[in-house]
Amino acid sequence: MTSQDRRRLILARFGLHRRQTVQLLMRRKMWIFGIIVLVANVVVAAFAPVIATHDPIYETHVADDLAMPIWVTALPGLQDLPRNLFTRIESNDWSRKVHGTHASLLRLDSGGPDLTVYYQRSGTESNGEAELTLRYDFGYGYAPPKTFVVLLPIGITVTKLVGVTYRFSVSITRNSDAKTFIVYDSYPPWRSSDFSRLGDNRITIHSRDPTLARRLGVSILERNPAEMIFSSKTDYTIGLTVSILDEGITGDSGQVKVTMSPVSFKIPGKAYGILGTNHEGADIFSQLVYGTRVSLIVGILSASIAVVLGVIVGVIAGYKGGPVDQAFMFLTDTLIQTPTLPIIILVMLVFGRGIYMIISILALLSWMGLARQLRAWVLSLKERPFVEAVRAAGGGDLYIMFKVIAPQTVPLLTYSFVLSIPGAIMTEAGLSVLGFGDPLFPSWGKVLNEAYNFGGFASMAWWWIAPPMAALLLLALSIVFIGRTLEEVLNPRLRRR
Amino acid sequence: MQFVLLRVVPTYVMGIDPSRFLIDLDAPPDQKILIRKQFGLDEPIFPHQYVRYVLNLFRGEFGFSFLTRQPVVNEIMERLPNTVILSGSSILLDFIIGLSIGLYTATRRGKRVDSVIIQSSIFSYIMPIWLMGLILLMFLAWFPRVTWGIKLFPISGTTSPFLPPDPFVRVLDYLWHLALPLMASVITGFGARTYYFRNLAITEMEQDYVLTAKAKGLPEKRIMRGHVLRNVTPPVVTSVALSVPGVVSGWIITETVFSWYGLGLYVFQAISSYNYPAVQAVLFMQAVITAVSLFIADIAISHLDPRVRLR
Repeated sequence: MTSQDRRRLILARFGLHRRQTVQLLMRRKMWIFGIIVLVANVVVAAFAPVIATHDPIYETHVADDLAMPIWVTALPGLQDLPRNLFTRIESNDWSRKVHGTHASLLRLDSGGPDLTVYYQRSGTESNGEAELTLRYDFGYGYAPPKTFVVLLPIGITVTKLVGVTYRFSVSITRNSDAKTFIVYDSYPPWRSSDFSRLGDNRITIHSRDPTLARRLGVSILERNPAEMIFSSKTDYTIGLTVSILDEGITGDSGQVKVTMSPVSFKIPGKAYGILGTNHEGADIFSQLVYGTRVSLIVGILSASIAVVLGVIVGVIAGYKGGPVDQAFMFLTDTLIQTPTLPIIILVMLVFGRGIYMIISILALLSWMGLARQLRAWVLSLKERPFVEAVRAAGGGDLYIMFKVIAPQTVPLLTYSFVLSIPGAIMTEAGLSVLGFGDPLFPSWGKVLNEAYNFGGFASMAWWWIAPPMAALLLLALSIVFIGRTLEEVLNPRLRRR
Repeated sequence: MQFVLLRVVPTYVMGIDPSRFLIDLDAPPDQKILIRKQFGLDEPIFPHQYVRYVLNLFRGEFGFSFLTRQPVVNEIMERLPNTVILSGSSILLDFIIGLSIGLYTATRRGKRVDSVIIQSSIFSYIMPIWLMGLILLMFLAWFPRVTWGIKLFPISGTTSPFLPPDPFVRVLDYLWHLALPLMASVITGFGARTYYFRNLAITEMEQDYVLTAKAKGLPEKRIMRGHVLRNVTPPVVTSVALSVPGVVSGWIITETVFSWYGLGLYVFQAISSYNYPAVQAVLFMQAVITAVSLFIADIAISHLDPRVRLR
C-alpha cells in the first residue's frame, strides 16, 4: 500500500475523498485568505535578504531618527520633509583656487580619489602666505533638516620646517544671502606639528555637537545648527580652506604635505524607505522583513516539536493504559495547570535567551492539550477490529502505536498543529516585547519592544508601532483561518453542523 | 521544581554564585561572607537550603528580598490587593460577558449575529493581551495626549501622584487607572469563553428536555434561564477555574505593559534582578492560588449539580 493509498483510505474513513476535500477547502473564503497571506509571508521570509534593503540589526543611521515613510511626502503639508542627501566628495569634485604671495609653491596632486597638496620650500623664499580653497556646490530643496554630518579624513605632515605654520577650516555658505558658517577650524593656534585624522580617526562635524553650536554662537538647547544653516531652499557651498603662513627664515627648507581622503557630507532625511526608521535610524521595513522569518521559524518549529511530543505522550498513554497512562496524564495535568509564563522567563534567564531556547521552551510547554485529545481518541481506536487484526498478525506494540494507530489521527494532528502555531508566534513576540527576546534576532516583538522603551509611543511614531502589530495579527489570523477551515472540513462532528 | 531552577541549576550547572547578584562586587571579603551567612547562602544547597525552604513554605515565611532587604511577605501583601482587583474583575467580567453572549448566540444559531460574534471571538482569541494593551495605550492614552493634549486615560501606574486625601477622589482615580488594563484583558479574554459557552449551550439545546419544554410552549427566555443555564453551569464553573492559571501567568505581561503596581510587575522585576526569594514566593503563591481555585470549583460544582452531590 503506497502512502498515497493510505492517505486516501484515512480520508475515506472520515467520509471524504481527496478531490472532495480540496473542493470543500477551496469553497471557503477564510481558507483562501489564509493561504494567500501565509504564502506571502513564506515568500517574504525566504527571500528576506533580497527584499530587505538593510541589515536589520547592525545597520543603523541610514536616515535621521524617527524618519517617516517616504510615501507620506505625497500627502499635502509633508512634501517638504527632508530627504537623504548623502554625498561623497572626491578630489576631482572640488573646484580649487590657490592664492596668496607664495601660491606658486603649492603643488596639487589629485590622481585617484585622494587629494594631496604639497607646499615645497627651498629655503630662500621671503615671508608670505599661501592659501588653497576648495569649494563644492550643491542644492538643497527641502524643509530645514534636523541633522547634518561632515566626515573629513585629513592628515598633515610637516617635514624639516621651523618657520611655517598652517591652519585649515571648513565652512558652509548659504548662497541666497551669502552667509557663511564656519563649522570647523583648526585655529587657534596656528599649527606647526603633524596632524593626523585619516581613516576611522577622521574629523566628524555633527550638528548635535555642542562645540559646533558654541562655534556658531548659539545654544544647542535653543537652536538646532542644522536648521539654522539650511534654513532656506537654495544652493549651498561647502568650503575647505588650508592656509599656510611662512615666516621666511633663510635656510629653512622642507615641505608641508596635506592628504585628504574623500569627504562625506550627509543630511539624513526625515522621510526614508518604505516604513521609515526607528530611534537609531535603522530601517524598519528591513526589520519587519527579517521578522517574518523569526515568526515563521518559531511558530512552525515549536508547533512541530509540540505535536511530536503530544503524539508520543498521547498515543503511549492511550494505548498502554494502566500506570503508564496515569503517570503521563498526571504530568500533563500538572503542566496544564502551571502558569507557564513565569516558568518560561525563569528558564530563559537561567539558560540564556537564544532563539532556539525560546522555541524549545515554547514547545515543551504546549503539547498537553493535544496529548489529552489524542489519548481519548486512541482509547477508542485501540478497540477497533483493524488494530486487533494487526495484533493477531503479530505486530509489536511500537508498530501498532506509531504505524497503525497514529496515522489514523492525522487529521486531528494536522489542524491542531496549524492551530498551535499562532500561539507560539504570539508568545515569542510577547516575550520579546517584555525584553526577553533574542537580542540578535530581529523579531516583530523586538521592534515593538524598542518602540515601547525608546519613545515610539511618546512621539506617536505610527510607522514604527503599527506595522509589526499588523503583521503579527495578519499572520496569526491567517493561520487560525487555515486551521479552522481544516478543522471544519476534517472533523466530521463539526462538519455535520 | 522552582527550587531546582532557581538555586541548583545556576550554582552547579552554570557556575553562578547567587550572592553575586546580592552583594556589591567590590565589598570587602569579610563583609561578603557575613552577608552570605545572613541570607543562608553559605550552607550546602541540599539538604540544608532545601529543607529550610520547604519548612518555611509551610510557615508562610518566604525570606527577605535581596534588593530591599524587606520581608518578601510584606512586599507581596502590599501589591496583592492591586493584582486581585485587576485579575478578579477581569475573570468576573469575562465570565459574565462570555456567558450572556454565548447563550444569546446559541439561540440565534446560523443568523448574522452568530457569525459576527464567532468572528469577533476568534479575533479576541488570537489577540494576545500585550498586543491589545499596546493598541489601547496607543489609541486611548498616547494619541489623545500627544495630538490634542487630553489626558483621556493614564499611561502607566496604579494611582496618580499628589492626590488629595479625599477617599472618593482616590477611588475614582484608581478606577481610572484600572480601566485600560481591565479593558485589554476583557477584550482578549471573552472570545474563548464566548465560543466555548456557545458550543456548550448548543449541545445542551439539542437535548430532549429542551424539546419537551418547547413543546409545552414555554417562552424561549424561560427555557434558556431555567433549563439550559442550569445545566451548563458546572462546565462553565470548571472552565472559569481552569482559566485561573492562564490569568495568573498573564499577570506578568499585563502588569508590565501598564506598569500596574501588582505581583506580576513585582515578579518581572524580581526575575530580571535574580531576586530569588521574591520569585520563589510569588511562584509558590501562584501554585497555591491555582490549586485553591480548582478546589473551590469542585465544591461549587457539587453544590450546583445534584448528580455530583449524590455520588
